[in-house]
Amino acid sequence: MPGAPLIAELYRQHAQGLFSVAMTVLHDSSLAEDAVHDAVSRLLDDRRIDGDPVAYLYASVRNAARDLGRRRSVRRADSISEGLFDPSLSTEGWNEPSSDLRRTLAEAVDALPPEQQEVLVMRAVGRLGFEQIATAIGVPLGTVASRYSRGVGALRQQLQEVVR
Amino acid sequence: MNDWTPGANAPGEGRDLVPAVDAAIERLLAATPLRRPSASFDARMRVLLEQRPMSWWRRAAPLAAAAGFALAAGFVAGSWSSHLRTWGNGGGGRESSRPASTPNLNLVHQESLARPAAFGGTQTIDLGDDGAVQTAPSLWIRTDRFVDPQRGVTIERSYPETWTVVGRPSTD
Repeated sequence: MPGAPLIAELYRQHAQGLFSVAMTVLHDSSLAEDAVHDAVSRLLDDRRIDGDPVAYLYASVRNAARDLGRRRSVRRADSISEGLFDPSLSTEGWNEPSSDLRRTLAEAVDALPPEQQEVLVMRAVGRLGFEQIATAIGVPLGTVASRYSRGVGALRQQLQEVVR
Repeated sequence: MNDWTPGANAPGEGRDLVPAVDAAIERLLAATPLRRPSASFDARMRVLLEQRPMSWWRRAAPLAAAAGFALAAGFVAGSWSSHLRTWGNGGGGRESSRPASTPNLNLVHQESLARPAAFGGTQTIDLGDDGAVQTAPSLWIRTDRFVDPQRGVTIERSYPETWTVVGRPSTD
């Protein structure tokens, strides 16, 4: 049974990744915050973590976000969809090639289907392995690899157009 | 930061280079500033993680078990002695009785004795063996029982608290 210090430490290490995963589901930062808070709060109460703790933490946040999304879907149907990336990215350093790449990347990621977004976020932001991602989202390893491959493929295509 | 090398996956260079490009895209993605949770959320999480590392009853459980063992050992050894019994009626007034063996003890309670006016209750504090009064702060498990007869509600609460003995039994 994990202790609260372990849960706290895992949260500190993965705070950004967990929030971003919730964002891929909810596209609303305040709801994503609520989902992360609910999931961590529940873990602190239950103290039951099955299997890989990191995967379990991501699964908990993802499930909390999906639950919250279902409950709020009608009420917030008219809300503006927020992207995964810092809004200041669209105005920073227009003359820098790297900023241009980042802006293109951000737009391309935001345009991906949510199931590819979450795999990419868990992989690139959370630094999760493919098996951990498969556990977190409850799909076979091959499905994760396929979503990752399609997602990265789409990003690669967009980036190649920028550098041409 | 731009770790991506566009030429690495140029046509004709082979599909084995694709994973390297994918890894570069991953790194670029990781280096691209993401939307952050708000400062108020960070504060909320800090409170959640620091002030509620675990629920009070879970925190008290191992201490209660240790205290229970110590109490049992005390009874078995027949060395059980001092008691301070404090009766609280919830309205501010209370009665105290102290054992004759520890007439000059002053207990400094480091936690407020205030309790909801609707409740009354009893608490018993065990001071340990005669002649072995601890002067260092000691951790005790306290169990309070709050009863509201009008509502038919009984609540028991156990939690650790620190007591310091600032006087010693009179040797006169």
